[in-house]
Amino acid sequence: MSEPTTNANPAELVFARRRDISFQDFGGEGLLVVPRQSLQIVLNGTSLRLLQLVDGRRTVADLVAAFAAEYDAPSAETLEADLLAALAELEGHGAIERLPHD
Amino acid sequence: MSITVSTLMERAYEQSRPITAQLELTYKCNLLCSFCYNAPKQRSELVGDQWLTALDRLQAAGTFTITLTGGEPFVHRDFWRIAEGVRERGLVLKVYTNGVLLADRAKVERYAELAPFDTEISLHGARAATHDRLTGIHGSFDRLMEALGNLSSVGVKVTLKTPITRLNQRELREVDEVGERFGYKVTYDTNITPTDDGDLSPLSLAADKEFLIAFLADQVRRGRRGLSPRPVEKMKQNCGTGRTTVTIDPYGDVFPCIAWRRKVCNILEVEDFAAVWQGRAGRNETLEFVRKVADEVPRSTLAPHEEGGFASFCPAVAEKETGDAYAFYGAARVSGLVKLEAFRRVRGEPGTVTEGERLATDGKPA
Ligand SMILES: C[S@@+](CC[C@H](N)C(=O)[O-])C[C@H]1O[C@@H](n2cnc3c(N)ncnc32)[C@H](O)[C@@H]1O
Ligand code: SF4
Repeated sequence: MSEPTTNANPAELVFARRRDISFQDFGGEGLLVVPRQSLQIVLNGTSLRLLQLVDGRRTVADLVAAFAAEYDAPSAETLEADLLAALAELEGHGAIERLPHD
Repeated sequence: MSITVSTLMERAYEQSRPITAQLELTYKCNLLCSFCYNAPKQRSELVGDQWLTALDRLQAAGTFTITLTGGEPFVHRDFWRIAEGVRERGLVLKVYTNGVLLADRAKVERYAELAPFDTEISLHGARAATHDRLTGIHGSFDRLMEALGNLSSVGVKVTLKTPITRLNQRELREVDEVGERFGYKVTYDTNITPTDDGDLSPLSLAADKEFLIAFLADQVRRGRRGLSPRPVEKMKQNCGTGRTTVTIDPYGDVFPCIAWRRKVCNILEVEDFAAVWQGRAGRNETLEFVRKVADEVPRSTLAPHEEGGFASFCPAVAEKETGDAYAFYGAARVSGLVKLEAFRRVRGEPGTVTEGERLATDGKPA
């Protein structure tokens, strides 16, 4: 069971890829396949990179740091907001899940 | 410009990335379909470990989707290891099966755990007598019905596939109803192909043309399928043979697609399969040839004919039937004329093709 998120500090959230999905880099954009939902969709570069980095250990703060190091990023707050939105979308597609807090 | 799945497929095509691989695990089968295109040889078939090596080599070359087929894939003694190997590598799993061995609840539960993206199951009629006659095995229909019940109860997505033949053409509406009973879609294949070693006898089972015209028009009117000509003048390629598709037979021989049995290499003999596929390991005559044909066929073979945009054209079949991969062979012409005529009927235009001369080729080589 995942924890209710309202009280959690978003920077500390940890996500993991769901085991039944497949995805591949097609030169900048990615293809995501979620068999449970018979879903096949295109991922933009940010979502693709997120899916590659989400590993059940990295926190959102770690992801923000990784993106900041790789790209000319906007401010940390804007980046965090963008990544949280992209993570929520991936979660909605059934590609990743939120891990409970320790 | 918004990026769609087709944009990604075009990129894969431009990069010659073999994104979909069909693995014919075995030619052994528990059914005896008289029209089956398989042409088994007296050679030893790959075992589980060898298929896992093949998976690694395919993945390194960019494969994303693995279809396990055959023969009957569930008959391979290492089926589960191989299928699990596909999923452990994060690849998309698809399976083509006759379904008989899934008349086993425990097996279907294990299968569902693999999270297959699609399972395509052959259904040859709505009645046991018809299906069993085409599969050559009494009881195969009943086992299939049991399998479909199991699969739908655990929520596995299935696409039923019905090759239309003279023997089942009169019961296709009921075939749709069989699908509806389990919540599964039925797709119809109007093309019966020769066997992989060039035997044309399966073509004698092909459905009547008049029937096919009426059937297609009916499917369009009922919103079950679309029907419009392919823009052959503008098409970059006929198909993905030797670029985005790859097939490996039970002996490890690699082919550019399921239909074209011109050998590229043997997967166990090439450590760097990606280098072979991308031409970094020297020239590969098969790949060069099939790619050239796939690129040229829309303009050279199809565009000059009114029915060309509607034709299901397979250069591998052209080569098998006529010796020339560019030839507009009988069955391709008929497929085009049948769809063109159905298209006209749906639009209420006067038909120009009836049982006349233009259809006299009857799907057989000229
Ligand atoms: C060779 S079978 C292998 C998988 C499995 N044994 C099955 O029957 O579904 C793959 C598909 O090819 C179809 N098929 C076999 N021979 C054919 C032929 N000569 N022309 C067209 N389709 C054919 C089968 O009906 C099946 O849907
Ligand atoms: S079940 Fe499939 S592989 Fe077996 S004989 Fe029929 S078409 Fe061929």
